[in-house]
Amino acid sequence: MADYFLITRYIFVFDEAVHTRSDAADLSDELRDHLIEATDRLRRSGLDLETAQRTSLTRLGDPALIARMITAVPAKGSIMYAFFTRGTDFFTLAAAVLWVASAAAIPLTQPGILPAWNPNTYTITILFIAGALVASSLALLAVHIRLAGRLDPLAVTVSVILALAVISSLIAGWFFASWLILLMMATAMTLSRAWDTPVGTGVAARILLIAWPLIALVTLIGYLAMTSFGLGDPSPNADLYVAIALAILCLVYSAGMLALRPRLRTATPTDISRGPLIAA
Amino acid sequence: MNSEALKGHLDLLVLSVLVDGPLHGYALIEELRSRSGEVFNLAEGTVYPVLHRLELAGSLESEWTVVAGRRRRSYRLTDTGTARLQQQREIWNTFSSTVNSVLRSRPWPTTS
Repeated sequence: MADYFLITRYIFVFDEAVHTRSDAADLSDELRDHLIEATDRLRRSGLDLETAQRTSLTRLGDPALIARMITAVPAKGSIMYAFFTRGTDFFTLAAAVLWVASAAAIPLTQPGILPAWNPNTYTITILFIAGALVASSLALLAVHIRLAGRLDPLAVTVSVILALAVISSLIAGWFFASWLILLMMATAMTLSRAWDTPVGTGVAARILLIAWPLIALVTLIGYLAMTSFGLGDPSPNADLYVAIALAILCLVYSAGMLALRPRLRTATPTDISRGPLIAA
Repeated sequence: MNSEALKGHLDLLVLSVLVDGPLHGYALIEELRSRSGEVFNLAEGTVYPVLHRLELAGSLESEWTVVAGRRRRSYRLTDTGTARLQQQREIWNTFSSTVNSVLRSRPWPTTS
């Protein structure tokens, strides 16, 4: 039996790149069969073993690149992919509804605005915001999972940021800058990944990647200015400003989630062979 | 023709080749090359993500056999895949006839 030493080395490199997948062995076996079949055919046409192997490997392509392309398609039966694929509609809709509820409830977090304020109304509002953050986190993660096909390092990073945002909203919801900045980071990282795909274009991208971060920045800078950057007496209107600005931010993010919904519904793992006409 | 020019059409081409029966990846690529009169010279690795994606979408099914002591995966068209192929063929026919009619609407520029 021939010693396919170059093919063995190629498959070793490929294995390294796909070893985290549940179907890694199948993927390697499939490429090994391809390469040996191609090599044997070339040998029958008169090439020596080494030249035939080199030609087959060149035709198949760089193993790291092939691994990236293949791992962009989720493994068959991936529970996580199925969860995010099926849940997309619900996550985005739940986020949109909860952000609207948060916007309506935000004045109740400021004792100086409505006489109805009390610790219970504050708690309810914080729970609305935390709920909206959880639903938005799932929607943003769905973007990553659907485009990358798996929980890759960028998706993990965004997950950690979003988890911190949810925790900080529950622990210190009144300190809105903490969870707001984290949500800004996670949203920007997610929409940036989707930049070249249908998910990262159109109204959803314009809202979540441009309009909403700008409003959030203005809100943060305005709040810092009204509180004299923590150095002097805060403006008497600071609470009212925060309530209005945060409510607007919640409503804009809600609109962004609604705009993202139809785009996420049709998003599939990135594949270089995918074009405008033919879709799986 | 290089791989760039085939982007967007690989799904249709792969489904079309599998109409005649199950094939493994290498055989499918060879069949594609042969049917195109050696014009479609694919970067072979690009075909596997397409096959896997089509399988995930339910258009293909795969099964493993053992050939010459090694595992081989073959793909076959499902009913969903057949319906999708029909749909994609119609889209392609509409698209290509529309492009042709646009190209025919003006005479080709002549060079002096």
